[in-house]
Amino acid sequence: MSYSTYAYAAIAICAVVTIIIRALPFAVFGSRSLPKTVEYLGKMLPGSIMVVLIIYCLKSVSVTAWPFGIPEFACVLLCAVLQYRLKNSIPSITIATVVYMVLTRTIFA
Amino acid sequence: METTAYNQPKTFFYALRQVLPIIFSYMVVAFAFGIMMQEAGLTWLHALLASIFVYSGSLQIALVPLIVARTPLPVIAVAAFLINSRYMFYGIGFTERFKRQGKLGYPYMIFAFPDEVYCVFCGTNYPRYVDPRLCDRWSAVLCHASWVIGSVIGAAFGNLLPFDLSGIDFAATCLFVCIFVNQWLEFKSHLPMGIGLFAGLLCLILIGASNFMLPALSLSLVLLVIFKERIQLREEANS
Repeated sequence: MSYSTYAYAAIAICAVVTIIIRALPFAVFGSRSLPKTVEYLGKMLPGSIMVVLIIYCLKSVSVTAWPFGIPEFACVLLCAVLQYRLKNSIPSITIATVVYMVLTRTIFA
Repeated sequence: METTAYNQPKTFFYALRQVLPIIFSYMVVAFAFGIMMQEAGLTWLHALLASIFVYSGSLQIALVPLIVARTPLPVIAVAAFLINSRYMFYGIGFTERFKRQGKLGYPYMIFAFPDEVYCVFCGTNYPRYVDPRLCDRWSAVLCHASWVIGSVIGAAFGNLLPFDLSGIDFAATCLFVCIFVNQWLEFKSHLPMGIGLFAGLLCLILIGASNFMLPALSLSLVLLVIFKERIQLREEANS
């Protein structure tokens, strides 16, 4: 198998696996009325998942070596405070991202 | 009919506005993915197909070094499952909403459901003039399109870019933070967030950065079921 063909095969496998994972909850719960516990999980799970996703985004940040994740944690905090006060995600995200890019290029370069 | 009360152009622009941060971060991350594909000796067509049909940033970026190393295909399948297993949890709670998209729309919405789109859909309280069905669909299509376009441009012309955009993908983290804050203000019980923090950190420390998502989400789910009565009591007491 040539390198290019092999790459297409690898991409196809990733596509199939991902589609199966995405379809799974819909295959299980899609065709009948939701059990009470699942309905409850559907409402509350996003609250837990969002925190896990933030941890996921910051997982490669090293807290034991300089700069100890300072730019990341500071900008996450900045974003949270902005969103808490402004309740408008566009400026919150833009400002926090720009500050992050400036910090990582200057003080923490 | 109630649909006449909806404003179609406003619905489109509402969708565009709500996914704008995703479009920016997708264009950049997908662009980076395209450059990686090019440097791995692959073409824009590989990047195009991967972005259309895999449509998962974390997996696509992890896939490039696996391809370069000529990793056996079954190993790639296992890696794909481990990296993307978190998507299993996303569909819970969206079955009824996605079914409204009809015969073709329903499978498309199930498929086009990466982290950022899930995140936006968790936080939507559409205004009255917005058609929720169309707004969901436009949001999904705009995100998917920006992902595909970004990766093809990256694979075809990535080496021509004269300036450095590194760090702009931090926008995705900020998006999650914003939705988290919205949920914090909206939820009466903050136990679900505490559960996520506890499960996430515990599994990250015990299992390590590469495979902690599936155990962390499973543990969150179990803890949510255990604390069901307490959380529901709180949610109902104040509503």
